Amino acid sequence: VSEAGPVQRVRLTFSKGEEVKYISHLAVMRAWERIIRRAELPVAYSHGFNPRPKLAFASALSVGYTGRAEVLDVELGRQVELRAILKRLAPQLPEGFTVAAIQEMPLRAPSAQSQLRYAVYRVSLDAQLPADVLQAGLDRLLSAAELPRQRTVKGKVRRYDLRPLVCELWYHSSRGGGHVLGMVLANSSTGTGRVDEVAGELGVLEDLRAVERTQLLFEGEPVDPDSIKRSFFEGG
Amino acid sequence: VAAVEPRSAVVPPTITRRIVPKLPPPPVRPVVPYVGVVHDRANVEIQRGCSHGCRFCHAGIVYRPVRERPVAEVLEVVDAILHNTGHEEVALLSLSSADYRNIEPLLKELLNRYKDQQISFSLPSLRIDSFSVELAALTQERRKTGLTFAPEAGSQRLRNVINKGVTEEDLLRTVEAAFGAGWRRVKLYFMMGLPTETDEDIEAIVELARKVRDVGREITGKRVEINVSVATFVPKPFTPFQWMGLLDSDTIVRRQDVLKSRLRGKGLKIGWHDPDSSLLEAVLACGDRRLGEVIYRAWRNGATFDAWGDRFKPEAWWSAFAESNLDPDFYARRARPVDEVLPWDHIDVGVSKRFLVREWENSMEGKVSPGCMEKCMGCGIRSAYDETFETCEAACGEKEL
Repeated sequence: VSEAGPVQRVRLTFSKGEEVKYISHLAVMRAWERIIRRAELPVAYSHGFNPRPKLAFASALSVGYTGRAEVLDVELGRQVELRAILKRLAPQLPEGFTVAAIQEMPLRAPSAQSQLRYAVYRVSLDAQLPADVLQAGLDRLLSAAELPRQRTVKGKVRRYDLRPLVCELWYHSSRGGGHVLGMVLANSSTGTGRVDEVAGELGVLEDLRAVERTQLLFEGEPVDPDSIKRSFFEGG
Repeated sequence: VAAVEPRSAVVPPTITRRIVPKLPPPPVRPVVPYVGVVHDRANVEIQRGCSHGCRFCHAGIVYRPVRERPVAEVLEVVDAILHNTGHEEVALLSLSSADYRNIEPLLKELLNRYKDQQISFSLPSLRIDSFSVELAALTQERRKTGLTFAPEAGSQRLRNVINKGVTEEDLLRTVEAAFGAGWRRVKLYFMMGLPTETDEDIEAIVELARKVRDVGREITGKRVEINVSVATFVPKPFTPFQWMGLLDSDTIVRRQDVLKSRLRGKGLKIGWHDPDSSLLEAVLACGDRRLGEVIYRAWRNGATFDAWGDRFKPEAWWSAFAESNLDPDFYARRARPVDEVLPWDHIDVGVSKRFLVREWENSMEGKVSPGCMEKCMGCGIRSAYDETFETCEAACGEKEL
């Protein structure tokens, strides 16, 4: 057993596409472990009775959603050039997974999960409501002081305020006979805003057609609506 | 059944099993599922066939003779399958892994090769001996999940009847080694409903399980967990027990109740089989072509996923039998005369009926037969297949009787 600790940490930005949108987060984790083994990357392992490869995801993506910029940190037991990592990963990615970017991370940097603050969603709706009614709904949500909601989690009813979890909402465009909304929702240890909850509040839960998570925003990254809106369709 | 004849002129009257003298290369590009499946690991068959000759065992007869995959090929295949799948565990499959002649060097080499990648290896079928415990210790070095042993019957008399060449002393010494090596959980597989079984043989299961637990407590000085699984024996075609019937339901239930009440207590847990599913299993195992209609009707009656206890609908099956004017007990619970034409007599698996009859008689006399490695019992596998003659001789090193 190699007891050498990790010497390198890389951050992969990957997409989870249509082909794999119905597989669970657990299955995504397992798939990545196997991708990395097939790519023969010298991944580092945790210590203890049941060593696990050191992979750390920033955030679980809901089943049924696609993701354009999911974040995964991998710790390696041996130094490998970034370009070589990409080259080795490419032939091992199953359909639906692509790697969009790779960057070096300081070994001792806090975990991606702990630094995550917001997630950006591109939400496609069937056109049951006219655009102006939708817009009015968005305005109502944004101007509300609080949005009390309740959710049933494992049989228990939980009451909470959705409003502080909503950072930005906007009507983006009409497309293919439907609407496209943008949402920036909190995604951190103190609270995570859910697309289906916002859609429920808007009364369009039944109209959800597709949800894509387009961006994860970490501590220190500005939430700049204009730049988010501008980048919304890039690569998508 | 008077005779089994082909329904189509293109089908030969006898279907002869084909035996490959050399194991074909195993699949190295299996589908890697996203969801967690039951056997979520890479599989490599290291050996086909088993030399032990347990009389209840279907696989032990129909996969004769023993053929090993060479170590060099296993190493190559493991490398390829890991490269292609990215799996974290490889099972080295065979009917009795500890019998593979180079199992220890193979395992050590594999562990050494993949120690940095944290690949684990598993051996699904271990014998009851201390060598097997040593092998298991190699594969479960860090996390000792549990060990499974199959004495199959509780009393020595009954183990002789089924030709399971294991003594109580073997078992106790083996579990002693296992507890000594750090295991706390041991699973024991038994069967009930074996030929000549009496209530005393059931009592012997209880006694043996308790002894195993007591050895565990003594060796470890701690709590141990003994999971006792008592399956209901289902007679299988091409075995020396193919002429016997399944135990009647009342006796099954009564003996299971004995086990359930007697195998209580700290450190003992018992599992058993549902009598209805054993009956269905027995019918399907020893059925004939008329069952095609029954299976179809059962499906029409809503039978699906029958192997899942909560989905099993026995009524769907029993009414399917009634609709087809067939009686499940005719297939499952009847002792067949040795000269009866059996629904599978037209299939030649390479082992002679003469041998099966002889073994059936031996079992009734409580006579033990040696395995192929000790002495050839003349099962017919050699003369039946010229092609494999050499392989078999190489495997057991004896001339045919």
